[in-house]
Amino acid sequence: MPVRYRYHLNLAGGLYLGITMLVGFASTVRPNNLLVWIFGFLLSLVVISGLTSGGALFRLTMRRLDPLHGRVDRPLVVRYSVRGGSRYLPLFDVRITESGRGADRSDGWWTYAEPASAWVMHAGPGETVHGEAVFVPRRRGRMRFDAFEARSSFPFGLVGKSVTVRQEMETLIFPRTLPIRENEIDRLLGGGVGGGRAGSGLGSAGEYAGLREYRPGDSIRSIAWKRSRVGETPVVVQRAIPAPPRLILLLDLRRPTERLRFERGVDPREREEAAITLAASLAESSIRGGVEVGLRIAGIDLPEIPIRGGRRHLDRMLAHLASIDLEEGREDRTRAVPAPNVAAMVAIHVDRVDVAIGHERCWHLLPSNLEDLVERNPDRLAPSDDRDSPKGSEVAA
Amino acid sequence: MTPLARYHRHLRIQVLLGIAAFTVALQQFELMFVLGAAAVASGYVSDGPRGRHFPPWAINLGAIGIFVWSITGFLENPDPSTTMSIVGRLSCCLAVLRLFGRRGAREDRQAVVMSVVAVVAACLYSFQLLLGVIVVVFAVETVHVVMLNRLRAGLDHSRDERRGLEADVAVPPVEPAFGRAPVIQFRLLVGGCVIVAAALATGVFLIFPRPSDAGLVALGTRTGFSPTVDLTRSDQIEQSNREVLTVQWSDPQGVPIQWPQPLRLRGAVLDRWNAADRRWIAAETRRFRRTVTTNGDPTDFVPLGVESVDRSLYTQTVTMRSLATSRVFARWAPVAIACDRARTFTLDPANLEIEDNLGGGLDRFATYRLKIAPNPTPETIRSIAGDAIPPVRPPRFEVAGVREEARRILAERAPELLQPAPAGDEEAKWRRNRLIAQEFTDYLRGEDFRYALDLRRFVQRRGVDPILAFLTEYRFGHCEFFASGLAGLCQSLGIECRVVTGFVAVEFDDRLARYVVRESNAHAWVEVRTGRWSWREFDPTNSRILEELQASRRSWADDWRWIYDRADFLWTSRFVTFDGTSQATLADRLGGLVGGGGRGLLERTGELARQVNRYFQLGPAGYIWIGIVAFAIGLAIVALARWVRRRRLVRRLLRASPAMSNRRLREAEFYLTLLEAFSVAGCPKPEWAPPRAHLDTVASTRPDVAAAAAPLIDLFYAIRYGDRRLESGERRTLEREADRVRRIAGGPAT
Repeated sequence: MPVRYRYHLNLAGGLYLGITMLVGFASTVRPNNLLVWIFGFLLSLVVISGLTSGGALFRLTMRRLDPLHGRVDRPLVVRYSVRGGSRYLPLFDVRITESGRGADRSDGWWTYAEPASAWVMHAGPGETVHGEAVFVPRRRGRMRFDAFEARSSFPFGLVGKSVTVRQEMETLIFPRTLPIRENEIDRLLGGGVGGGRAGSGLGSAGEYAGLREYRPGDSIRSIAWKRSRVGETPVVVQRAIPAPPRLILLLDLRRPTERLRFERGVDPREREEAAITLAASLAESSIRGGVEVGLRIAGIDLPEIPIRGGRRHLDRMLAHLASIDLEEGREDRTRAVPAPNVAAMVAIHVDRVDVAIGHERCWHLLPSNLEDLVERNPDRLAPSDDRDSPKGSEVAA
Repeated sequence: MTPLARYHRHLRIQVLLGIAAFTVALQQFELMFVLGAAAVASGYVSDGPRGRHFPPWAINLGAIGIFVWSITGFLENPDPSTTMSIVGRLSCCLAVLRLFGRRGAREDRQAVVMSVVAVVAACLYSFQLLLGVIVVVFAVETVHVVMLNRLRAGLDHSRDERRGLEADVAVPPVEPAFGRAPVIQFRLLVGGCVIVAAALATGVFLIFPRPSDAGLVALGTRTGFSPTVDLTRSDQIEQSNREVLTVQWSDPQGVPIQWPQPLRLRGAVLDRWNAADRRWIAAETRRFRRTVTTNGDPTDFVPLGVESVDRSLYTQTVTMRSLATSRVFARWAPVAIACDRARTFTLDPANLEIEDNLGGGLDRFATYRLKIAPNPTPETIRSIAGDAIPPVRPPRFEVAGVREEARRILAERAPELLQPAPAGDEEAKWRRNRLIAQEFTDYLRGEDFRYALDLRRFVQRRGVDPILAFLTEYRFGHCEFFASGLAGLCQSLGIECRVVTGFVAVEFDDRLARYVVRESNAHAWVEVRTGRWSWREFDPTNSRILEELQASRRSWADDWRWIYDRADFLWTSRFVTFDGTSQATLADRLGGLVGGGGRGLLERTGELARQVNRYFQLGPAGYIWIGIVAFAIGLAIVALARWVRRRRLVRRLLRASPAMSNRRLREAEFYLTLLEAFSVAGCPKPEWAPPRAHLDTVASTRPDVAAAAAPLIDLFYAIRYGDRRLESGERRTLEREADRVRRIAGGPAT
């Protein structure tokens, strides 16, 4: 990793030097040896300030640890591994900040979040410690880090020293999610899809579903010996595994942003992002409620996500939604629609409903429906519209 | 446990030290009590568990009030020389006020800066030992507090940054580093910084360009010896009871006695009034000056002029306490000198002024002895002075008005003395001079004149000579004014006289059989020529007033000054009076040490040994003792270095953490001997090889060594990994066994 070392003069150092020179002048004008010694002491502190932290800082090794992913409006903790290189000098008061190299890039970290810094109070000689910087991303996408800088003006704050390390890294920022009310999820599922489903596998797992004749390949352990008569074909116990409700989310992004039609004053790109937020919120709340969810995105060339459940599947879906690039060209191609008995379906449109892309029992939602679906919990933070209000700040603090 | 745990306490101590330094320097102890109590109270009020603070408006209002108070104080007495004292007082008050407010790292920094300003202001006004000690402690504490403040600022910044974040879920908080390691390493770093800073500061101190007489110029506005008489100052002079020297006055039999009159110890002799500079100066008689050299033996007197030293003379022994000067203070008339250092003294035979040639050198004398003839015969003076005594001629005193005043006084008190002495009758002339001087002395000692150290009402005006103003208008002042008045009156009438500055010894300590001379005993008087070879002392200052003043300033603390007066002497002689001459001397010595190829160092060591021997008065056998002690110290240093090296090796071999106890390291030390044994046996152990595996390798070449070492290696494993503890007896046995293995390894293979 390329490393760059620099010294920084700061205002405090300038003031200090000024005072030191004044004391030097005073000790010249008024011959008092005590004053001369103080002058020497003040001068020596400048030297020590440069040597102490420079000696410790310029030998440290640092790297940024991959934070894997973040989420809009959630703290993204970026950790830095710092190892003091000096054999004798410990490190104190080191601040690590991401540098703004390549300011013209549209995917730089500064387009996603406010600057944040990690602070390492102490690292012993040769000791490795971690510092944490907490970013709060404000939009989804691929957040790119380039170089970061460790800076310290310890011990006296007179001369700043910095070490810049270049380490490119990309972190996916998931879309914002809001909790959806449970009954709304049930309503969207329609209540009919799901329940017990006969599994293909036999064995001891699952509920008893019935008996059938033995077929070659069945496990010997599934044979119901008491029911099987001697000389006849043995019967095996057929079991059912619980089948959770299934839901397919269909995000309709076929229409390019510039062709979306809204009232004046509404930002089409914002509505598209709101549609993605709605899809992510539905996916998260559904999967947390035990629903298996699949995702299809119409108009964007991204593979569809099969219907699955679980946390890792949710991460996969959110990563999928995070990687949507709305600047890409759109295809006016409708995704294949499964039969209604396979899964419930929710189609999320951006500006207007197009019933053609879902089956006959499909729900069609718009981003504006999110407010009706969101769980009203006073303990949770206010939605994004209230973020700038004083009340929001107080809660966040 | 975190380095920041006692941050507020250290900040308070730092502010307290700043206040102490300022108040000690300016002797404003009432301010110290008020501000000190307030600073201590802030620890309970603001930094206590309840943490109550003054609101910001109250702090700002208080700061404005203090500022206005300071400005008003300055406008009342707009003296530029008091500006920094006002600034220092303002800084002290603001620093204490800041302690009561709600503070972050920034406000704490302000308090630190205020304290530093107060200390710098203090250093402009004083250089005494106590202030020096406070300044050094303050410097250490300031380094500590500033470093703590940096950590505090970093923590506050991080916390503020996190607090400002708005997110859907809670943001993780920032916590300072905990544990012993950060605290210990922080303290070590502070200690290291302080030591390096002090060393560098001393380096700057040594090479800082100075004038050659800085030590004399630096003396401040308090009682104390000064080789000049300067009548331009109109301020208040503080009485200082610091012991400057002690004097033992022995009769010809060598018995210490108390002299019936006060002993006047002459330091500087000034015979010309410079009306333009308003000070007394000495006439240059450089061509008559002689030098005498002492050999460092305080019993070996070197004559100042006479061929042999008469044993019937009195002996004056001066031991320096806190005063470091090159002047020799001697009672009239010194005949011979001895010193505890090998020195070259310059004698001005015209006025018997003696001065050490070293000037502001490093190695000032601590004791010198003089043979004194209290009533010298003309022959004695002639033998010392030779041709140096100036011919008899009337002096010139060019201050208009003084002569008229002198004639007016004589007309009132002794009109007969206005008549000149008969021409050709030299004896009558000397008698007339003596009588006139006595009349003037009596006049100045009269009711019309008042002794005062506070000269703030003595307004110096352009065009008005201070001597004339003293005689005719103000009629108050200290001894220098009285002596100047008498000398002025005498010289205006053509009587030869001179102003002498030095000390007057009046306080006799019966237990020590010595006079104790304090700074407040600094004095000035007049010597009037009363013969071709004789001068007579006249003191126009009323001695009764001086004694009363001294008695009123005595306190119980004066009895304990001997405890630190020695340190005070070292402080003054080595630090306060370090000037350009001292720098040159130091450079010469260093050059001698470096350039002499070690010979200079050897000589210096010998000189040091002689000084130590002389100090402890051990005699010739003392060198043996010094040698034994030096050898023991050297042995101890070698043993310590060896111990440290072995301990580091063990620590490295065991890969021991800093937390591993010394006892465990000590128990595993025998392993080092084993490794040495393996090396001696020709099988050095590679670092990567485990001990047992290496033992197999050793067994293949030296089975005897391996067999002897095997149980020790097992025991090493038990200690290192099995947490086995050894008794002291077991440890010694192990060490013996390890030595045995080493001996086997050194022997032939079997």
